[in-house]
Amino acid sequence: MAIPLLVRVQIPPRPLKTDRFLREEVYFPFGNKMLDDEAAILKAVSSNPCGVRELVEKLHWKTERVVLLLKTMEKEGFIEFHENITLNRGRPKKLVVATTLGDEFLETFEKCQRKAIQINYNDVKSAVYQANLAKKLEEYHISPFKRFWELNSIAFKIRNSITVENPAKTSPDF
Amino acid sequence: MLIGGLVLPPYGQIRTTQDIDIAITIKNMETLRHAFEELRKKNFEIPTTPNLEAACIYLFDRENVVDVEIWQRPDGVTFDKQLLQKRTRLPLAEDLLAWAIGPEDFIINKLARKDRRVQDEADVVSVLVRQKDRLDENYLVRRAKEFEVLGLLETLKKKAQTT
Repeated sequence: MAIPLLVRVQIPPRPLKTDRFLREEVYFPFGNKMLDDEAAILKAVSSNPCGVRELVEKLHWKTERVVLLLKTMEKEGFIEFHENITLNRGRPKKLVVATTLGDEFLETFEKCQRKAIQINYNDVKSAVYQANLAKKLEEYHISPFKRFWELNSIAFKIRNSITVENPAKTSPDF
Repeated sequence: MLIGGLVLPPYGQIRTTQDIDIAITIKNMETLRHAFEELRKKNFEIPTTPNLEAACIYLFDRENVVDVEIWQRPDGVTFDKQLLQKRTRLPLAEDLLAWAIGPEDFIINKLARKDRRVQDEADVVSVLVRQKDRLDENYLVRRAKEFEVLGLLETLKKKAQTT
């Protein structure tokens, strides 16, 4: 079996445009397909660099889509193409290799995924409603913080009063 | 009967809420009018004229600065004998006990809400986790079918199992 020899053949990547990520975070709060795709590619190559064809097979995506993404990611500095020189005949295979920046991106992306807060339109509406209630309290010179603790103590009182030894009384009347 | 976030502490994870949701069933206009007259006397602000058709009537307790929602037709709630049997008494204060919706109907009420939030689903998961062996499974499934939320309930049950 031939031992792969990695040789850098591409020009150094262009600097990363960090503002792109900021823009996308603001305008794509419910997920960004391109970032997801880039992370999937990085995940596929991070532990085991592979060629474009293998990558297409691993991901079950269309070749054009993978090639286009790889070109973009190369420009962003997430991946590099290394030539896999072997003693075999034919054109040397190009391996897709994650750069340090790519690895860092993948790590951060996965961390963010774990921290993602799931909300929908109704949660946002509810948050606005709750904020208006807090505003109303202030208008009446009542501290929302004190009110919060008052409600919190009621909630704990209710919970503590209903234990396994002292289950909630159900209605026997009906 | 109390419904909504205030009922969550005994059944699931504690999550405080700033408003109080109450479900009532009043069958004639005279009783409804009388109930709201009493509330007005107790310094409640009632912005709309109460009627039997309104799904929800909003009140504001001026004295304590608390918003109250009075639900005549809460989503996923059928006022029948079984629902009343499953009610529980909650101690809100030293000398104040209040009826609260049972855990199964609490779940269905949350899932059947037209304006269901992700938070509501999280509330349901917390109840499913904490009340695991205490829930009346047959009753829960029957109510879920009645309000067409069985699929959602099954999904959340799976989530609860992995929580």
